[in-house]
Amino acid sequence: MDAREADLVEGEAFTGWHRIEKDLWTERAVDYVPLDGAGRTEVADLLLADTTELYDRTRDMTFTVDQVANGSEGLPDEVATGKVTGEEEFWSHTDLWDFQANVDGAEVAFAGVEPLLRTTDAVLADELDGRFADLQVLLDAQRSGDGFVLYTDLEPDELRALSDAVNALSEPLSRLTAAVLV
Amino acid sequence: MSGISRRRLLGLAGAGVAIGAGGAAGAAGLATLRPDLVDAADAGVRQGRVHAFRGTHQAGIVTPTQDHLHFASFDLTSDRRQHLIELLRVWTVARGADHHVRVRPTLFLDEEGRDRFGLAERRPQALERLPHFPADALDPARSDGDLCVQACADDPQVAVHAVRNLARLAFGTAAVRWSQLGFGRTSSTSDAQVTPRNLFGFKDGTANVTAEHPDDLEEHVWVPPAGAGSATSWRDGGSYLVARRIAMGIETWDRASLREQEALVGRTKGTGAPLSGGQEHDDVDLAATGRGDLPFVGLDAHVRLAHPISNDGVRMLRRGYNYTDGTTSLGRLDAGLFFVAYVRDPRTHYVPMQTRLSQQDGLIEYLQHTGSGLWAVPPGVGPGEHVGEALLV
Repeated sequence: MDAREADLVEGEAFTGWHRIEKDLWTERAVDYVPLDGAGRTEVADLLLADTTELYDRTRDMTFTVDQVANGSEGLPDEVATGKVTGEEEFWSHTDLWDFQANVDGAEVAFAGVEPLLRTTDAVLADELDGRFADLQVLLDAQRSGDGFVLYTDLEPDELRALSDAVNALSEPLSRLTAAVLV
Repeated sequence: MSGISRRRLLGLAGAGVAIGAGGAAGAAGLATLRPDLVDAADAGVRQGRVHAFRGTHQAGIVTPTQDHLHFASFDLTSDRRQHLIELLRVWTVARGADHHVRVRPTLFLDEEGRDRFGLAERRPQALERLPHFPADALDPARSDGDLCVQACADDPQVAVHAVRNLARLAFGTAAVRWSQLGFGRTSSTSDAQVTPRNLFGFKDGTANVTAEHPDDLEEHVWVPPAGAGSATSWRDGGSYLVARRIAMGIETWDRASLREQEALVGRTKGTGAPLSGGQEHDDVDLAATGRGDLPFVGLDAHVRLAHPISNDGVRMLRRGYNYTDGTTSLGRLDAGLFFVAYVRDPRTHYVPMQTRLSQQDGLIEYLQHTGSGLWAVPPGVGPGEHVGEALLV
């Protein structure tokens, strides 16, 4: 569902969101023939089927506290690895949408363990609240319409500020699991 | 010095450096004009770590790995076969550190399919550009090149100097395409060496093919004879060098918990012992399970996926180095592993394993391959010969 074209082995099928992304934003595609109606239907149907399957398979899953806390940390790390570098949305440059979604997910996971954290390390809880807020301010500054500016429209110092804010959030977030397991 | 006119001597090598097929004349020339280089060589000899250049196999593969690396890739700027021969002769004679020369597929047929040196039919089939592996982000400016040189020394200045000297000798025939400095070896090529650490803080190269096991070297590293009269017999007793510049996500790695790091590698961080138990050099037990019937060494652990058991029994001789090249535009450490491995055939000994790692290794989330090269390593050099002589004769 989420593999980029660069993640594939030679000969492997290219499907999912990024497949659709390439078909919709073709400026960077070399020697590319756009899908016809039947092709688009096939890719879309497969994505829908895969998404439904993923949804069904996750309904009965349970998570331990450390898994939730680690999950909260993992999402900003993903931002650091691929979204703040613009590698995720190679064709469309819509990386900031992904960036926001990862931050949202990290906040949801954090909210799940925050009541526990407040009893063990309230200082850390306040620091994390602050870092999440700082990062959101920077993201909000890049809003455009009901979305965001494209990754390629960011000035180098704006990008640097976002990256630094991710680091500022991630470092204390990496102490979350240890703090709630105390 | 037969066959080399004074004009070509000066044109190729700059003022005053003597060139010759004979070792003695060359050394004397160098002694007269580059005293600093000879001092460095002597320093190396005093430390006992300059190794014999001539022998059955090229040195610098099974010799105990030194601490510093300067690796350089060159593109040939001349189409003249004679220039190539002279360059290899000159390089063979130049001394100062252990440096070793290898050749690439483009030597035989370049990007446009031209056979510049009349060598196309002598290209071994195994010498094919490596395929794209999942998640590769290769920079063409850090990849490939017609010839490469690996210079290793315990003193970093000596390693740098060796390449500097060879690059100067090459002006007019070859130009540096890219180079990589490495500090801190990340493998042991001798059982006597202590396993060093990579920039993830883990011991790296525990289960390496080492010099004390000639059977393993024959099975995995040296190219077997191609057969009498074969066009590719020039590389019998040689090897193939795979080089990969693997960038590490240092900042995100440092945020990962110790348990996660150890789970991804499959070894403990402190001693390098396998998670299945024992000491560093004990075999990994991939079948051992613990609580909940989960294997001690996870299914996506690096040590499992790289293990010979997971890869049809193949092994490599690794000879990599750590590197740090300053900082990226986002303020991150531009650092990682300059991976170097010697194998008898990359198609069987590298490509399948790397494909598996790139697809399944949990560690790949913290890594990115940014440079790549594959070279054929000619066999050792006899007295009076130059590197690669059998190819060009």
